[in-house]
Amino acid sequence: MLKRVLVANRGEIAVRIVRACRDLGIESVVGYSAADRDGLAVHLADDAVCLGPGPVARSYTNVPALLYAAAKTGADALHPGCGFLSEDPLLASACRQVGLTFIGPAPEHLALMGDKLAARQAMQAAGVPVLPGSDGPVETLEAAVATADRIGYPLMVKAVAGGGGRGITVVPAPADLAGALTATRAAARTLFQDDRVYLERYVDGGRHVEVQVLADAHGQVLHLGERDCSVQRRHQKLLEESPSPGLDPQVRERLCAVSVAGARSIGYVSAGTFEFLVQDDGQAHFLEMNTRLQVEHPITELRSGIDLVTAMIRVAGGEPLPWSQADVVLTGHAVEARINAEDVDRDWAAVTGRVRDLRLPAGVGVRVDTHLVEGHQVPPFYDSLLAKVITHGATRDEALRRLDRALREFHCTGVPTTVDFHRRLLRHPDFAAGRHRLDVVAAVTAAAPPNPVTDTNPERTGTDG
Amino acid sequence: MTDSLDHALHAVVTVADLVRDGRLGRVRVQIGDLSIDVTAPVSENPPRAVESAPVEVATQTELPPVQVVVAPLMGVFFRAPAPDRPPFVAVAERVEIGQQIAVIEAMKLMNPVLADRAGVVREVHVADGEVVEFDQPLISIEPA
Repeated sequence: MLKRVLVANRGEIAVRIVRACRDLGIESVVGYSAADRDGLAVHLADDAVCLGPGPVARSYTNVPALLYAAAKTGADALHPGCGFLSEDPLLASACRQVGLTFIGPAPEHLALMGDKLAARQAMQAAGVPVLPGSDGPVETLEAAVATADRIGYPLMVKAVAGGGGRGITVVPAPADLAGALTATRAAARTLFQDDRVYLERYVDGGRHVEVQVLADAHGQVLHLGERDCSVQRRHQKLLEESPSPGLDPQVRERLCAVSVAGARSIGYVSAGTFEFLVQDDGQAHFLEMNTRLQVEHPITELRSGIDLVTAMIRVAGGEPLPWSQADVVLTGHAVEARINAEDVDRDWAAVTGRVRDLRLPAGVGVRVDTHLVEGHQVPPFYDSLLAKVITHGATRDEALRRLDRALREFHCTGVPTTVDFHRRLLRHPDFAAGRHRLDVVAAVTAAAPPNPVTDTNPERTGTDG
Repeated sequence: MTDSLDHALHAVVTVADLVRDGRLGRVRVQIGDLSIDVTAPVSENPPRAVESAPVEVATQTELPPVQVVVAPLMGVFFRAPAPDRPPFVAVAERVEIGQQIAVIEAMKLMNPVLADRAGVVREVHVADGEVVEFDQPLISIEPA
């Protein structure tokens, strides 16, 4: 059993991990930046250590600082949370070298899935459906043209080191291939210091469906159902729900089965997520595997009753999962709305400021994961996630009604937030009917009234700013 | 440059908060060429109780006579350039601005710690070889 976990993250996910440690009866230490000195996680943890100043390169992604922090505070494990270094094989292998348990997958699996081409090949070998594409990196324009003719247009030029929508260029027709190749290679060199690219067929629209897997070091690999993350803007997820509305049960069953097979084929251990693009005709293709805890993990927790964070910690400590697949029972419908400090009317610009007049929602079927407290200063250095409002109901309709109720209760001033966007989304006919696709955010904002949702109740809802 | 800007911004936010919360009446902060001087009317109400406030702050505050040099990064604190060498400075010794007074090792890189003012070393707060966190007080210097 692990004894003391260094939480190498901030914001709501750091709070989430501190609470999981508390539930397990083990101690937590939060490594924080000087900009997060007064953060909720720092106050809730057993101990805290200042890693460096606000900019991430000198604090949250500073590997030496994290290792010194663990040494200084006697931590025997490190949880990387989401983002930052959570999928960086360098941190995971550095932890291994100094005898610190990394609460996540092995560095080899982080490296494999971080190489999008190697991931594609490994998953194809395991029987996971992938889009038609090149067998290796494309080196020359001649090779690209030949491969592109085989794949067909439209297609994508993708950076081998990309992921999360970065390093991708869509090529509508043969005339655009040469330019896309040069541009993607140059961008990949700058972004990832790796200019290898490959080709893959492009499919428009559809839905983003992902399968949660959980595996221990004793050969047990479970799936915990799927999540639908089709409400996205520029590859940033805004709202997630489970189950995916309208997904053919046979497609669901197949995606869950191939995800388990894919994880098992590489000997994966810890929580992980297989992302798929699902077309209206039921065709589904592997996009990538996220080798970490996901921001949207709570909707799976509400449906399965399984605490994914404590499970990750137990598995990292060598314990077997106490469940078989038959024990995993998914009930009802769950939905998560991400409340970001963003000004939707100013092209979703991230905003800083001090949160005042805070009132968080509660009540039956509502869970709020947040680091917000009255007077919280939103620092300029990090992503803009303030809170996750998560609701659960027997049906999709009940979960969405509870979400609307919770969003209406959510109140703060000082920074604009995405609360009103979510309420408009809930009223959009395509979303309400569960037939929305990846383009739904543009449809909602285009149809936006000049003022936020009007209520019969005169009380101001949502946020000011 | 960016670092000193970060520090300055952080200081401004902190000072503004302290003054607004009625915990301080007057504050003067100097970082390099930048100096901030804030005076607020002393509140009628007693200062708000703050759970994590490490020290009692008087309503009229001047710069304390002793200034503390803090760790510029995480790493291992050493008082001397090598185990068999004398320390950079000893208590009661005079230091000049910019003089090296300690070193912090991070992954084999030796990062010098410099005196940010001239004065006399009053106290060394950290044991040799201790891992220090960012902003941890290291050495107190009394301006001479």
